[in-house]
Amino acid sequence: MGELVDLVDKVRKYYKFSPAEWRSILITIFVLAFIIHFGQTIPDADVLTTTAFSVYNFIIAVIVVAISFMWHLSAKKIAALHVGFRAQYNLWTFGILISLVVTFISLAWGRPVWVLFAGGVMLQHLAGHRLGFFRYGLNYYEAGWISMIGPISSIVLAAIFKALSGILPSVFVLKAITFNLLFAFWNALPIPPLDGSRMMFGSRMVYALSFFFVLAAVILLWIDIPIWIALVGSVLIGLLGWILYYIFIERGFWHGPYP
Amino acid sequence: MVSGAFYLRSWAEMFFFVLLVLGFLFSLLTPSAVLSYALIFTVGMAGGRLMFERKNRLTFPYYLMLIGFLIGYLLGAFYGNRNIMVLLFIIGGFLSYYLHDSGIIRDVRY
Repeated sequence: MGELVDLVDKVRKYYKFSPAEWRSILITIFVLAFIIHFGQTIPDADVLTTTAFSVYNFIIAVIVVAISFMWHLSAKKIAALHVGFRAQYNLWTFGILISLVVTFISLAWGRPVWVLFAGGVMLQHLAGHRLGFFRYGLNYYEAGWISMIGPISSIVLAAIFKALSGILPSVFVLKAITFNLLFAFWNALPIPPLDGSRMMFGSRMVYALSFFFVLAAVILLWIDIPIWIALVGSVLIGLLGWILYYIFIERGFWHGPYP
Repeated sequence: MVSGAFYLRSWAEMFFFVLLVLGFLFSLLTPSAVLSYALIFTVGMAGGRLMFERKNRLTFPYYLMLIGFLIGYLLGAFYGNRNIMVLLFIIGGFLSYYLHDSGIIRDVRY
């Protein structure tokens, strides 16, 4: 209970966005919305109808990306506060530009591919909140733990949208589910400064578990099966992948105190 | 057999060639003038970001690589005007450099 009160207090005090962070967030939202707004067309429509439909798609995309991205970022910020850090979002310009380049090339072939590289969070130490029990300073394990929350929160949001698919309009829900699943997948890749790289530096074993979980969740939530089966199946596949990773790869790296 | 010292000495030329081929392929993959313009503008912005990163440091090899990409792109460009492509590449580069330099875009450091 004490920890929860402490977390609520920290959220009240430190859950803020700087102007630079807002700029990065807005750029990210608009670019990602631009990427995902392609893909749906009205056949045999005139220019005016096509333009109006494109604008409508873009507005839907902005709403989807804004909700999903803020959820993802807030989860990481709150997780960071829980551990005793303040997370600040920063844009990854090369990532954004790579996503755009892939979109343009794939658009030319009529089938847009969503590569969603956004940015990374920088962690700052909340010194006053880390006295006593905690070891002083930032470490890889905690940074990895905070980053793990990002893809998992996107998977959870995709599951929530899937559960709400009967209530919300189908265009919105389908886009939201697809965006969240793909955003979780791309973020889980071990490319700096994405979340996957921090997770991998934190602990390879935990990374293997969470990566296989995310991969399985992306596939199982996409296909038409009940949500609870998809989530339980993802956890089981994650555990299986984790064990296989240990047996076939990690054991070769690590011949530590356990022969 | 080529020694490691060769790669250390000639990395800029090697990347020039690699980016030239990459630019050529990118250009071939975009069968539309509008998308060609959008793509070269985006790559120009990436170039501006790269030059901002190399500010006050050795920049010539990076100019060489970017020019390699541009030449490759122009060689493969079938749709659109090549002069406009060069112009968009330069504008994208300067715009990106300005946005980063003035702090409007703050990039992640890792």
